[in-house]
Amino acid sequence: MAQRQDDHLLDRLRARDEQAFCELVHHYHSLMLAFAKTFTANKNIAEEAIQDTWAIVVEGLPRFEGRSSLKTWIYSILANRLRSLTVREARARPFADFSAADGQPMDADKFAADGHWLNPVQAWEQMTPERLVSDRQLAALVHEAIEKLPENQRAVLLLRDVEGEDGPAVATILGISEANQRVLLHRARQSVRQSLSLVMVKVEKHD
Amino acid sequence: MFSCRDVNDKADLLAGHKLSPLDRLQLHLHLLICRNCRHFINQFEQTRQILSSRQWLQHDADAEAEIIKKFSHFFVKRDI
Repeated sequence: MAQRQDDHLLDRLRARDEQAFCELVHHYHSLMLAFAKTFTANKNIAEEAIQDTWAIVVEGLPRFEGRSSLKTWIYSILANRLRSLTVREARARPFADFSAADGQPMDADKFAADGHWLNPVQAWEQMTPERLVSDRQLAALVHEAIEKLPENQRAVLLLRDVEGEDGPAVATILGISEANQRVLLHRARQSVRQSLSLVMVKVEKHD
Repeated sequence: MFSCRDVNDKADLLAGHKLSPLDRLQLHLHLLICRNCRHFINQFEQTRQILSSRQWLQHDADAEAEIIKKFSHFFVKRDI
């Protein structure tokens, strides 16, 4: 949700507009669940954390000063609830180890010593708005590609590329360094890009 | 001038408008002569576009309705 839309929604929420709350839930709820699943495989814990988050958000709206964006506030609350609940469930450590980025150079296996691509990079078909909306195979592929990501990469990708959060905010929400979140994001994007290549590569027409 | 590896490493900075003017120039100069990197940047941008579209996101209408119902007493229906 763009910042200006966020601000307008916030004004309506503070005015206790029910339609605004419906829009808020529709925008955030599904992604909150996807995000929660990066912390825990336990569906009950994920749902409890989300319910708690909505309760805190609704009750806190009158006092929310807007020092952070609405989405940063919501995801910060959710991340904190998830940390509390997963600790309470007596896991040795949370399901998602957000501190893990192993310091390897990015994509070292894709480049020759002189910095050129080892293999040609193929052209993709150009995505159209119509295809974006209607291509069920594409939607399923994206969903599957994201589900296959390690939890730490998935969390960063969901917040950065789907929710539109900036790097510093994501680093704060997840309790990791900005450098770490950048590496995780890069790897996540590469994985999804490779999956999308299966349906996006331009097919050469031979007459 | 940038190598292909540099373009790969800095694509996210380009997308976030965080490249210095000099780096942006070097990257664009490289794209003029490197088809592989033009394809890569196009793939990179399209991947981001697809992700941010949310068309692939599966909504649970029942779960959303439950949340709305649970907290509806905090809000007021307004006539449109």
